Amino acid sequence: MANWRKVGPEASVISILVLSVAVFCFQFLYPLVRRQA
Amino acid sequence: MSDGIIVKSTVDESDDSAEFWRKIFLDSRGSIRSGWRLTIFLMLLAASGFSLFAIGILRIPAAARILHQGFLSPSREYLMEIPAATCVLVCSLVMARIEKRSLSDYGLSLRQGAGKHFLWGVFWGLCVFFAVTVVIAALHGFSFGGLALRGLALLKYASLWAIGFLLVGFVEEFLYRGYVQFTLAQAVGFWPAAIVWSLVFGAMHLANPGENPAGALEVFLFAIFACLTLRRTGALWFAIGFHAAGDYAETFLLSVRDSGYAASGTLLNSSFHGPAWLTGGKSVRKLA
Repeated sequence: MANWRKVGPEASVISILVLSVAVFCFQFLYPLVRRQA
Repeated sequence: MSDGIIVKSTVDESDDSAEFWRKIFLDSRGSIRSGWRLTIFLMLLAASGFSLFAIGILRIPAAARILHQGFLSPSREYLMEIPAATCVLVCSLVMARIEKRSLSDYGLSLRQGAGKHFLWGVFWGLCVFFAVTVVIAALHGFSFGGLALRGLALLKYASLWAIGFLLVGFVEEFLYRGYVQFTLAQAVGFWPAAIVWSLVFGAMHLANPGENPAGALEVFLFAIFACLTLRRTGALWFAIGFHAAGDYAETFLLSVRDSGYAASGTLLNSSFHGPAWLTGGKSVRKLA
């Protein structure tokens, strides 16, 4: 952690978790998106 | 008689040689192999990028000052992204001409639904980056602070950043998941190509000031998600909307660092406080 620089929230563990959830959800929600489009 | 044999042998050698070179440069259908097409595209891109930036824009003192300022601003985005968009579009058009294709094949299809996919991408981008910040705030790692902009200044920066990040979304998505993804996928398959370009995308962000391996990992995941949307929707519009909205939410709306870069002209006086694993780094350094 000593070399952890000023990167912003995208280097947060939360960001990595939320993005992983987004990838997972997209797989299931895309049929909805497709119907709307 | 012996002369005839010698001539035949020379012709055979010549045919073998032609076949050898044909196999190196062309595939079984007589088209230029993917690797060579990719090489041509990257060389065109490097040459046009070098011409525009090193020989052109960076020779203008005011432009060079803005590009070297070390933080994001709408003018920096325009100076970077308009020439970059021109380069990537022109190079892709050249390749499309060579391959007798259109930009639709490289992810810019304008068929029905493109606009809605783009808007869904914007919605997802805002949701994802607001969700990240709300969770960090709930764990006492983020304060929204007060408004840093009001009135006309707010309107000005809100619209300047919106256009700027549309350009960023277009350039980065089309550059990393447009022609190069299409062409490499023809050679090795969609997902191996997606992993290669997502790794390159993540690695390129390590050059940003203040970026670190965790940030690059998130960028890699972001790229994989963009590839998934390309695979599912058949075009880049969702990814462009997602990318543009994500950057807009981070930089302007939430006023936090974007890939290691602080920015000027942002909406809030927000700040981070808490461990680096939660916040991704130290407090935002506010700029004028």
